[in-house]
This record gives sequence, C-alpha cells and structure tokens, in this order.
Amino acid sequence: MARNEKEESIHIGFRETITLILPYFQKKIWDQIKAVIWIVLYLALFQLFILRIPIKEAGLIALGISAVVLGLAFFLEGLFLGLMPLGEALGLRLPQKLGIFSIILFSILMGVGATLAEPAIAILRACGSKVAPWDAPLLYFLLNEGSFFLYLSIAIGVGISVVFGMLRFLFGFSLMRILVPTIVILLGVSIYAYFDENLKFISGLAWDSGAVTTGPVTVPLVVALGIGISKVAEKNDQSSAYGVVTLASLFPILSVFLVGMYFSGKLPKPMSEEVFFKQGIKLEEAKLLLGDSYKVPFTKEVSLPKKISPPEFFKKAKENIFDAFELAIRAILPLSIFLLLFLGLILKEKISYPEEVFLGIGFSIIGLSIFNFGIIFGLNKLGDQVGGKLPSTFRSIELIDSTKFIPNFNPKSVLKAVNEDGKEEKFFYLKERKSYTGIPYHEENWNQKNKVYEYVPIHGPIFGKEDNLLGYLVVLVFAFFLGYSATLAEPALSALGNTVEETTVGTFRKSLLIQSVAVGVGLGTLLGMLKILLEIPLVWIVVPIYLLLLFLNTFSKSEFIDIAWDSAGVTTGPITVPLIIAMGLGIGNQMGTVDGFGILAAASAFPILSVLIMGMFVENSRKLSLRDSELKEK
Amino acid sequence: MHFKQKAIRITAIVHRDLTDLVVSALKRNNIHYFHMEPGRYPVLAKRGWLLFDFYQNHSIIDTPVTIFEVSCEASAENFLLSLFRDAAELNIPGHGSVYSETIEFHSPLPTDYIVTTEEKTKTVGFSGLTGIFCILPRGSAEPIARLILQNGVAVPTISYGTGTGLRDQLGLLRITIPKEKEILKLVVHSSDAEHAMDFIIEVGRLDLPGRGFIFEFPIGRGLLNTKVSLEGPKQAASMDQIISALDQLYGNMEWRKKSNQFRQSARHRNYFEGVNVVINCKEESIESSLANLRKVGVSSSTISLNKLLHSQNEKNAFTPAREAANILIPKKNLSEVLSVLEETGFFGEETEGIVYTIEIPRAFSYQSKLGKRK
Repeated sequence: MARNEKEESIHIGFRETITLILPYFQKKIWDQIKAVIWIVLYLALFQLFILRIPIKEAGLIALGISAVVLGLAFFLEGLFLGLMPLGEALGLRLPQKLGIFSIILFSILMGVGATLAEPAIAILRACGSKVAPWDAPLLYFLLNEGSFFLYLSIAIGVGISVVFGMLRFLFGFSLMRILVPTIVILLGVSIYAYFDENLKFISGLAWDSGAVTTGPVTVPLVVALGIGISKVAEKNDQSSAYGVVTLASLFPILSVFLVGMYFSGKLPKPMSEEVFFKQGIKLEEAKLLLGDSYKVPFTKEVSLPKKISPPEFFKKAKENIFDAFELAIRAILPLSIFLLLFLGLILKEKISYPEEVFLGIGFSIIGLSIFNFGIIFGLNKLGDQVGGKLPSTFRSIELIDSTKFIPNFNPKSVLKAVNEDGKEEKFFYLKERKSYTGIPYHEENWNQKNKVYEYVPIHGPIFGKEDNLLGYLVVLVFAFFLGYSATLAEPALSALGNTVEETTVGTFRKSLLIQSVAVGVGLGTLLGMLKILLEIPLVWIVVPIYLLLLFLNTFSKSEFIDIAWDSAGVTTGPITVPLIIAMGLGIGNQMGTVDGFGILAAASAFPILSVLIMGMFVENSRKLSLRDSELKEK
Repeated sequence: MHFKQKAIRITAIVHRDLTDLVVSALKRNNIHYFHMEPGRYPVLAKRGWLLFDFYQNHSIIDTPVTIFEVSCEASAENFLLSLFRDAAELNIPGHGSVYSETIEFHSPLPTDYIVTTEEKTKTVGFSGLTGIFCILPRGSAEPIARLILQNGVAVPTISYGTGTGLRDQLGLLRITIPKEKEILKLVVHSSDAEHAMDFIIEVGRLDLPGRGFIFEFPIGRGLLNTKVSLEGPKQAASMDQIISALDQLYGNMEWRKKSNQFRQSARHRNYFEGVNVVINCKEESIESSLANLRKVGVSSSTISLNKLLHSQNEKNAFTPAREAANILIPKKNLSEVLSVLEETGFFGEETEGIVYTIEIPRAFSYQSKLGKRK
C-alpha cells in the first residue's frame, strides 16, 4: 500500500511475460475443460457402452471438442474484458445523459440488432427442414419462404422486451407486474392456437424461438446494461439487475404467434398429401408458400449417403472454418461498433481502459469462431451420431453411416431360411474378422452392373423386443443427463453465474446456480422427450408449468424470482440447442411426428422451477439466522 | 488542504432482511445521507443438512448483509448507534453489528451531514475494540472466515472490491492478474487484535507478494454480532445468546479475550503505520483520480462499489452509484496526496469527491527485501 519513492513503469522481459501468461491461460482453459468434460464423456460413453456403436471420425471430433474448449475460454474472457464493461458503462451513462425516449430508442435498436446477429435462430430451420408443406402449411412457410418474417418478429420481440426491462430498472417496479400479464396472455394465445388447425403447429416453434433468441452475446450484454442502469436508478432496490433476459424470451413467443395469426388467414389449412398435389391450394397461396419454386413440381427428396473424397473434404472444412469465422464476426462486430459509437458520439464518454475493451472484443471474435468451428466438427457430430442411434434402444434402426459395400458379391451364396410364420427369407453369411454373421438379403441392394452388394447394418433394439418399455426409459434417462451435462458447458449461463455471484457479493454462488439450472434443464428435456414419444400437445406441458411457476412466485423473494426467470432464457444456448434438437429429430423421425419442436420450451421452463425451489431452501437457511433466536425471545 | 474536521463514522452491518427497516428508520430521523454496500457474513451451517452439504461442499452458509456507513458529528454518535441498534434489534444474535470510528474529513462536509442532536441517551456499546481490515484475492476470504468462526473469535464481514496496484503498470498484460479482491472485516477485542492479525497473515499467506494487505483500525464503541453458527439451540438458550447476555452483563467484552488460543507466531513482522485515505466519488471516475495519484507514488488501492443514498434532494445533486477507494499511505505524504486531488478537480462537480482519513496504528503487507517501504 504505501508508496515507493520512485515509481517507474515496470519493464517486463519476455520470460516474465511468459510466466504471467501461461498460468493465466492454463486457469481459463482448465475452467472450460471442467465445464465441457461432462457432456463429452457422457455422449462418448453412452454411445460406446450402451448403444455399443463405435464413434465415427473420432479424431475429428476430438479436434472439434478441443476447439470448443479453447473457443469458450477465449470467448468468455473476451466477454468479461470487452463487451460486459462496455454494456455496464453504457448503462451507467444512459440515464444520466439522455431522456427516456432516447433510452427507449436505444433499447429497441440494441435488442433488434443483438438478435439479428444471434446465429442460433438458424438452428430452428434445421428442426423444420423435415416439415412437409401439406402437413402444416403455416409452419412450413415460417421456416422457409417466410423465415424473414420469423426472424424479424423475434428480433422486435426482443427489442420491446429490452425496452420494458430498462423501464423497469428506471422506475423500479417489480418483475411480477410484467411477468404475470405476459404469461397470462401467452397461455391464452397458446390455448387459442391449440384449437386452430394451422396455429396448432406453430406453438412449438413459437415457444422454442423464445428459448433460442437469448444467446451468449445478447445475455451478458443485456445483463451488464441492466446492472449499469440499476446502479444509477435511485428508485431501484439492490441487486435487481435481472429480468430482461426472461422478457426477451417471452415476448418473442408472443410476436411469433402474432405473425402466425397474420399469415394464418392467407395460407391453406393442413391437408393430406394427395389433396395438396391435386391443386388443393390456390395459386397465390402456392406463391406465398413455395416462393418462386412453386412452378417446379414438388418432389420428395431422397438423400443418399455419399462418400466424401479427401480434396472435397478439405474444401468443405475450409468452408466450415470460414462460416464459423463469419458467424462470429456477424454476432459481435456490428454490435460492439454500435455500442462504441453510441458511447463516443452520443454520450460523449471515454471508456476506461480502451485497449482492454478492444482486446476483449478481439478475444470474443476469435473465441466465438473457434467455438463455432468446434461445435460443427465436435459436439454436433457426436450429438448427431448418438441422437440418430438413440431410438435403437427400443427399435431396430439402420446404421446408414456404417453402410458396407461388398465387392464381387456372388448371388449364389444367398441361402434360404424359414421364419416363425413359415415364410421363406433370403440371407447370406458374411465373414467379418473371424466370425460369420447371417445377413438378410434384399434384392434392391444388389447392383448387378458393378457387382457390389450394399449392406446397411441394422442395430437394436438393444433392450428386449421392439417398442419395449425399458428402451423408452433409457431414452428418457438419456434425455435428462443430456440436458443436465450440456447445460454445465453453456457459456451464457457461465457469464450469468459470474454476474450473479458478483452482484450478490458471493451469497449466491455460481456453482449453485449452474447446478440447479442444469437439473432443471435435465427435467425439462426429459419431459420434452416424453412429449414427442407420447405426442402430448405442448399446451398440456406449458400451461400447468407456467401456472405453477406463477403460484410459486408468490412465495419467493424478488431476488430469486428475477434470477430464476432469467436463468430460463439463458439455459438454451449454442451447446444445448443443437444437441437437444439432434436428439429430438432422431426420436421424432422414428415416431413420425410432424414437428420436433417443444423440447426447448420445456427445457427452458423447468430451470425456473428448480432455481425457485433452490431459492426457497437458501432463503430458509438465511431466515434461520434471524429467526430461531427470535422465536426464543418471544 | 485547508479544510480539516474530526467526525465520527458509524458502520452498521445488518442482515439483508432488515435493510428496509433500517432505511426507513434512518429516513424517519431525517438522515438522508448514508452509504450502502452489499456484503455477506458467513455462518457455520447446521450439520446434517444434506442439501447444502451436497451443493456447497463446505460447512458455511453465506448470509447477505447490507453495510451502512454514516458520518456524523461526535455528539451524534450515541444517537446513531442506538438508532441502528433499535431499528435492526442488534441485541439479537444474527441481526448484525454496529460500531463507530473516528475519522477526519479533508473535503467540504457533505450536504446532509449530521451535525448534532439534542437527544441525550445512555452510552451504547462496548469500548476496547479493534477492527481488522484485510484485503485478499477473491476466494481466499472463505477459509479464513471459517477458521475465525470455528474459533469463535468474531463474525467477519466479507465484501467485494477490486484492487489496483502493480497490475496497472503492466499495460495490457494486467489482464493476467485478477483484480478482484475480497475485503474481510472483523472486530475483535483490542487485546486479541495483534494475535488475530498474526493469525490471518499466517493463514492467508499475506507475507507473500501480491497476496493482499491487512491493517487494524481503532474503534470507538461497538455492538457485535455473536451468531457464529446456524446450529439450533440444544439448551434453553443458544450459545450465541449466552455470549451476548454475558457481554451485556459485564458491560464489556473483556471476558471474551482469546489471545491465549492463538498460536504465537515466532516470526517477527515488520508492521508499519500510516493513514487510510478513503476517497469516494461518482462511479467510473475513480480510475482517473487514482491515475493522478499514481504520479505521486500512490500505487495500490482497493476500490469497492457502494451506493450513496440522499433521498432528500429530488434533483440529482449526487448520483447514487459511487465508488470508494481505500488507500494506505504514510502520514507524511497525506498533504501531497490531498493537493494532487484538489489540483485535479476531484472535489468539483464532475466527480463530487469526498475524502476522509482514518489513523492506522498497525498495517502489514509483503515488503520487498530491499527494505524499501512499499
């Protein structure tokens, strides 16, 4: 403390620099390894020991996963150095320098901008790519030709919610006052939609898009902004800088429903495939639905597994790296430039430690690029492999990716056997390594020209017969642990956890928050899985759970309410969403469901519940420090 | 600096649930100018609480507290102490503590400063106490706090702060050194102070470079929290209640001396003395003030965030978001520091700075072997 007589700037040599930097990176990377290890181990071990299928492209996946770890470490450090201080500085200055209208304008711009930059929405399309236009025209439209309207409605929803959040901080009213009406309206709309032929199919999309919008860039930024504003807003009580994130995941649900209602009248009702092709729809409807391609006859696409040659593979890898980099730049750069310009030109403020902020922004871009790349090559591949084969616990599935080609196949080796019903079936013996396996023979797989027999191995059902209960149970347990362990690695949750720990001065631990959110996501994923397996309408899940949440809210303290609801929006990010969707698609395809949506909605409702319940326990122990002695006094 | 005035600073640490009660009591008594800062005090957890053992594998539960700071004229000391005591019922273990210190203002007095009060009340609180202020890297306060609690020395208060110092001279490399600090404060009986300090230095390894620093500060009078554990009462009265009853019976805390329980450290420590300069200003402007101070050689300081309430003026004369920095300097440098602050307009409208000092009889930090006073 005291002082040195002569203070000079310290010169640090190369060696000292290294001794400073190495442990720093070591710590950051070790933290991320600890976060990611669970989901990786879980997926890998599940596939190896329960599904008993070797992991394809294991080397590439390992590379991808290390990229995820490295990317996360850079990205989070960049957030803490660059974007979050920037957001907080803005929050501190805004109310001091600008009037309420400018704040509203700023909030809308920021919300819309942040959402359009958020890459996660694109994932929803993956989920809808299997939708047929005749089954659910409205859903098909919003995911294909009308996807622009979908994005825009989500972005405007987020923008409006940021406005409400900021107004809340400035005037210090409780979150419940916005939450209760919003949820009542949402539940009402969902119930209405349930009884509408066309809207019925978009309720899953609407609820899921709410969960998807709030990603790793938006959340920390919005929370930091909130912290800044709530510090200077005098009417605000302590530690209520939260709540915007949950609004940002509720309002888009409403706006997607509204857009759905608008287009619902212009689009045909669901119909059967035959009616659809027999000019069951009018020309303008077709134009809207199918865009310019409406003249081209709509055919079923059949994807064929292709072998990728090395040069093609490298080309693809290069494209993927480029894409990852582009996504990262798009997510961070425009937003940071907007914030910096706003701070510099409109608020005319200097940033303290500008070089740190710039370094942070650079770190976030580098981190997010590596992370995106890692997600594409590591986690998604692993997730797709496990997700696609998951149904083999209760059904037999074809392992398309391990298709074998038997050259110089001799049809004379095909034998005949009799099955239980006395029918004749053809099969042949294949020698693999040292054992002989009987393989059913199908005429259509035999290519007479090049004398190659194409054989798709069949796997499962692992647990007993077709559609056995144990197999379903394994799927549900898998869903729980997938949700749980993926959430542990979620970057936005990690950032929120840090902020919560910081603003509550350590009384609300990061680890406690992450654990309870993860349990919640696990339960939600389980229920979402159950929804797909049993084909429960989403309304039956959403309405009771949200009513229960509103009921529980009345017993909780506002501190926990705000954090609990915010953690809902945060949970479903770049790690959980693709994994959960891959699993949902895998199972959904087997079950023949129209849309695989809704798991995310369930997965983001349950964390609220678990955090609220955890909050009650914590609150109870805090009360204990006041209460038991007081009881004695009385 | 021409201005100089002695005053009293009252610090009250109360359970978060009682914050509203205290704020309304302060407002009722026309006290509109006080600082609030969030903090926590650790309590030993009840054993056998499966859920908490599972989640936080340590036996400590953190209770959120609000730390109030009010500065006032010496004649108002008693009034304020009893005001806090009554508002938060501080005689009940677990509700919190309140204590007073003598400070010296070096800036114009704040507008709503409490000058005096008519009320004559019986003197409140015990004398013969010493406070210990300790700055540690984030995360290190917990093990120390647990040992302090287990020994029944005191109930520490922990709040968050950020440190500046060596870090800021490193350029961008500074990001490799975490700036987040934890501030651990505890109040013990004066005769225990040296041993308690020694104990913390030992456990927190404060004799190593970059680990933080510690100093003790004199306390006028104080009423202390005695609740160290959530363990329910096994007897008719809990241990905390017995302790606080004995405190009141004796009228002091002499009987709670712990000195003999501490392990006497054989090592001789080079303590130094100085003044703790507390500078308080608008948030985000403290960095530049500290940068100016760095030119005269004041290198390290600890910044904590707090909220200044002043609900009387509806016009924002002050913004509520404030930063405060504790800087420990040798006494002879005080005038230089003050003149630097004045030259750079620290007391002006832009930053709305407040400066006061507390005499520090004993402080300790890592000192380099060159014998240079750090």
